[in-house]
Amino acid sequence: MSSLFSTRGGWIILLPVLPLFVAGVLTIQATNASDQPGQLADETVKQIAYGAAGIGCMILIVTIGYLRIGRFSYILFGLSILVLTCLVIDRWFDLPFVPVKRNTRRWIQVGSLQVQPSEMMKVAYVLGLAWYLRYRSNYRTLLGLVPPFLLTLVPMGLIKLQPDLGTLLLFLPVLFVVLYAAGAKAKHLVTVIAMGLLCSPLFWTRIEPYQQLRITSVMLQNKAVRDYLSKPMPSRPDLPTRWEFFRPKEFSQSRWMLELANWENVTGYQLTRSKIAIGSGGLYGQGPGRGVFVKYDFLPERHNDFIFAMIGHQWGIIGGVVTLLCYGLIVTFGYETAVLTREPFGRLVAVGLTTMLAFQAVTNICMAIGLGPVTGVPLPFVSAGGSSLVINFMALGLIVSVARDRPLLFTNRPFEFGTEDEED
Amino acid sequence: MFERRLRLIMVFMVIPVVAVIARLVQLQIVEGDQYANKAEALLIKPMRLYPCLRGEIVDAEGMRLAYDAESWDICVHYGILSEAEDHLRAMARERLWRRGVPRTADNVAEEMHKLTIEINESWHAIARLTGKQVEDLDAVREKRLRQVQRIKEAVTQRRKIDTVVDEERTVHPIVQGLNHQMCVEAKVQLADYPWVEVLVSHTRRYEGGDAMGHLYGTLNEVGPDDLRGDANTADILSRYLLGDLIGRTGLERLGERWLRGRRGCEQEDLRGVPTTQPVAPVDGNTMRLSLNLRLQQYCYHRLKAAVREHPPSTGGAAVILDIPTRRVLALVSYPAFDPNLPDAERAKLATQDPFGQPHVFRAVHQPYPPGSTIKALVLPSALTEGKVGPGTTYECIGYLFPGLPNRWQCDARRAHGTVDPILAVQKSCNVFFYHVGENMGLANLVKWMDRFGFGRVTGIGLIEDATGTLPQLRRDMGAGPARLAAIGQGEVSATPLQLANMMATVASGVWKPVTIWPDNPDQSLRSYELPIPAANWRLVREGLYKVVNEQGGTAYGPLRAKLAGEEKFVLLGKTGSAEAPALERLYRCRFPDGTEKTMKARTFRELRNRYPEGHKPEYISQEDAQDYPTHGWFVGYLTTRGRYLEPAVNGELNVAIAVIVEYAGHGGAVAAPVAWDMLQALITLHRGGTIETAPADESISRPANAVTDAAGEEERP
Repeated sequence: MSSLFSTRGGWIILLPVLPLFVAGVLTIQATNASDQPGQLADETVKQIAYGAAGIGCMILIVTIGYLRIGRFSYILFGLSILVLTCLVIDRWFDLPFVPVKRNTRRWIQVGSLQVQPSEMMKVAYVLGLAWYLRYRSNYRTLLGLVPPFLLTLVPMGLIKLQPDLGTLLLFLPVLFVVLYAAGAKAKHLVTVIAMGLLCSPLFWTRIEPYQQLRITSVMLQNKAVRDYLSKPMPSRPDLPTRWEFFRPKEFSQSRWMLELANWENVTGYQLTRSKIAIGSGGLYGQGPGRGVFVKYDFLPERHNDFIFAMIGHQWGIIGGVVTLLCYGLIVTFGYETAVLTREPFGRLVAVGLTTMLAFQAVTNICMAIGLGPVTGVPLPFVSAGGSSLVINFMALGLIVSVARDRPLLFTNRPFEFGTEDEED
Repeated sequence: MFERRLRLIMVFMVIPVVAVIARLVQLQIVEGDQYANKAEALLIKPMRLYPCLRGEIVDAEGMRLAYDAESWDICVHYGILSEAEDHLRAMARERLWRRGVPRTADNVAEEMHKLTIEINESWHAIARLTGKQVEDLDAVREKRLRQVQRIKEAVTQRRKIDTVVDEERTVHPIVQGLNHQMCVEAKVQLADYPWVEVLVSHTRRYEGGDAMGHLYGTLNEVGPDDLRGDANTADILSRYLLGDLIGRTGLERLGERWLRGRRGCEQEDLRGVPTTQPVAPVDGNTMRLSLNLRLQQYCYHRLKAAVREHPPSTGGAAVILDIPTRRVLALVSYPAFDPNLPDAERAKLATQDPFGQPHVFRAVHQPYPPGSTIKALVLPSALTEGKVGPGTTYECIGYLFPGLPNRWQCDARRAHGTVDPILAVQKSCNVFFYHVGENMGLANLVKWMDRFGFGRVTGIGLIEDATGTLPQLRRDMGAGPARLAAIGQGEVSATPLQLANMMATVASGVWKPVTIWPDNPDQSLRSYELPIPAANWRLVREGLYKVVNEQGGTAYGPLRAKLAGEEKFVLLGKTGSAEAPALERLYRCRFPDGTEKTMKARTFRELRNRYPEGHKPEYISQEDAQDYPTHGWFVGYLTTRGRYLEPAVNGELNVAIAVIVEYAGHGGAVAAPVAWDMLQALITLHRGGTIETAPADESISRPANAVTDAAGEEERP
């Protein structure tokens, strides 16, 4: 047990982050390079600047210490909720600092900076949740699970209205992992998950057609499936397609047929291109800054949400596995930090933030290789993007702070409900 | 226990990691090559196609008749035509990128503004250069946009998805038909505007003027049906693409596959590496006609003169065939039109001149009653069938049945007396042929008409080639239809080309398909010898000789003086005066001053239009015009003097001719001189002489102009 978590935490968590960040910067530079060699592209400069800002914030947080920040957890949570509410309000009352992009409201304009409040929400949520759970044990009953779930559903509901499906779905795994780590009974959680799954058809009908298509694209990327779906069922020859459940309600039969026929050029465009980029990387990749997809803009958002495709394209399967390894190390160090600290709030913060980072990475990578729906979740530390980079570094700062500030506590180690757990 | 739970969570996290690695192995190693190929395929740019020239059409002497003339077009890119902001933005960004300026929103906006000004300048530059107004260019621009939009709609409809069509990525001609000097100027002056290109292009030009009007036919852009019916769909270089031209009628259609070349291509990927071997365009083949342009033009103008000399004649046609080969030497139809007339103008021809019908290719497309000319066919048939012998005689009293002088009349309504076969042909005695028809029966006559090529295509290959009609066989119809058919009236009809070929058959004893293009690879009709003994042919030829060359022949009078000078060749032939429905009616009408008059006119409206407002007559009644002129036919052939009874195949000059002048009266008086003039021109050409291909007054009298024609007729009476 302890052999797995034997390394003492602290700054060492930066070790796997640096190659990720460097790979991101290299890719951003390569995809935005102009004719002049040696000159940094604007986007690269921006990314480095945000990285530096992130590291600055990280150092600041470590200096302050997570416990002092923790006292403001509810306030931070409340503030984030407020900002998210502004985005929702903008749907009806046009607020000057909320720009609308592609019919979504995800950003707050602060001067020339654009901040994504949902990124802020992620960290604030983990802090709030940990702060709520730190000295309790009532969540070990089914009823006690209600407050933490309420705490989760409020930001989720607000993000649903942005809408931002990817971020939205990130909250649930974090909640479950934190609850489970904190000692909530597995059977309760399984019950909740089962209930959630039972409600999922309801959720399915409540989302936009394009979101439904993004989810089904995991299945539709296979041409055989598309062909199968676009044929009528033998038992219902009056319906031109099968499995009506997957057809968005807003789509007519013919539109759905078109969608299936042209999937690769419409909904599946990015995924198809992403798979080509990764697949053409092969074993060793095309080399840094080389390759078709680096030179030509065949893949929209290639430096952003689909940066993993560019990593696979440039560095091949080796690059992909190394990336996974880096995230594995982050998770290991993060959880190790949680294990080694005895302070309950710190434990939950470390677990929550690590899980948050891990799930972002998994969601993004799965999206790029067609194992998951296409969502706007960036790849932590790699994707270009200000808010997410800074916030991720801040999360890292909190973990480091947890590892470094280990207050001497003369209590039992928290969340050790061992005996009952064994009985479960 | 906290540790244990975390470890469990980590174990669960291994599941997605394993899945991701497995997927990476699948994508990058198992299917890696496949995806690498797909990545390469993304680089491929659309194939660049180079147009080829359509083949030339030349006449027998090698004179160029139809060709693709080189010209230049000023073309503008679609993105500029559509003024799409996206395109402008992309251009602005590219320009900034080329200069290494950061592509910030402000910079791009500024660059877009500059671009807009430059685009405006370029329109003015084009206008200045070509001497057009910017508004005119704007109209063309909108037309192009509409065209592309239509293509886009069609593609969208077919593919059922909004797609970017190739036309949206290319340049479109704005000003067409620049000459070389203007092209150079344009290239220099418009060099600063990369979205404007001066591209070489071609315009189909036709030589020969009105004389060749019908022959070339129409050439226009392919439509969806042509694309679907294309035999070369597999070969992108040969197949039809939108915007390609296809021959619809006439020679352009006949030679479509021959004239159509193969376009060239070049393909490279985004890196500039050629992906296929470049292919040079191959121009179309030259289509060499058997036609002689000079003769054609002479014939056209001679025919035109004949039509104009004989009101109310509406038109005519003439065909000259080489007998041994059945090559067409001249194929003339009047009225005609300028072959360079745009399609839109051609479509108006029929309504502009409803009686002249200049759009009809009379020589091959218009079946006429053959009239007495058919006797050259009926006599050898009857002789061969044994229905009439060389010594058979019938008594002609001017009509068939004594006591019924108004029915079954003879041509001249004069008694020919005792008529033998030769005399019957010479004098064109209807009564004799009434008997022959009666003896043969309609079925027999139809069989022989078919053998002489009636009711069938001639094999010339033109889409206009009409079959004409054969009399229908009905039960219990008596001898009437057979009698009528034997004098070429009633249900039988034939085109001038068919009659010329009939005469060539009489001259040689062999039916052959007619050809205007000796190299035609699609000739499927076979020639055959008619089962007629030589003695019968001689008898018929004797008759045909006497028609032209002996006192009493129907064409002897008008031709006697003209033929006097010709020593070497002799003309044989048969005249015909075919009755046809009158074009005019007698209108009884009352004028405002109370007078009543009966007047001849084609329509009452035309009659009213002759008078100014206030003097226009009122309609009372109408009736058929009596004694309306017949179609004048002359069908004959030229052969060597002294050997005219033998098959006309080995002589120096053996040509068959058919001339019809519509509603012009007696064939011998009207058509025979025309035919002889044409043949004389041919003989002159044959002897190396020159002929006048266009009369001096050609410049003032344009055909296909209903207004001046009507005015001219008014003056004549």
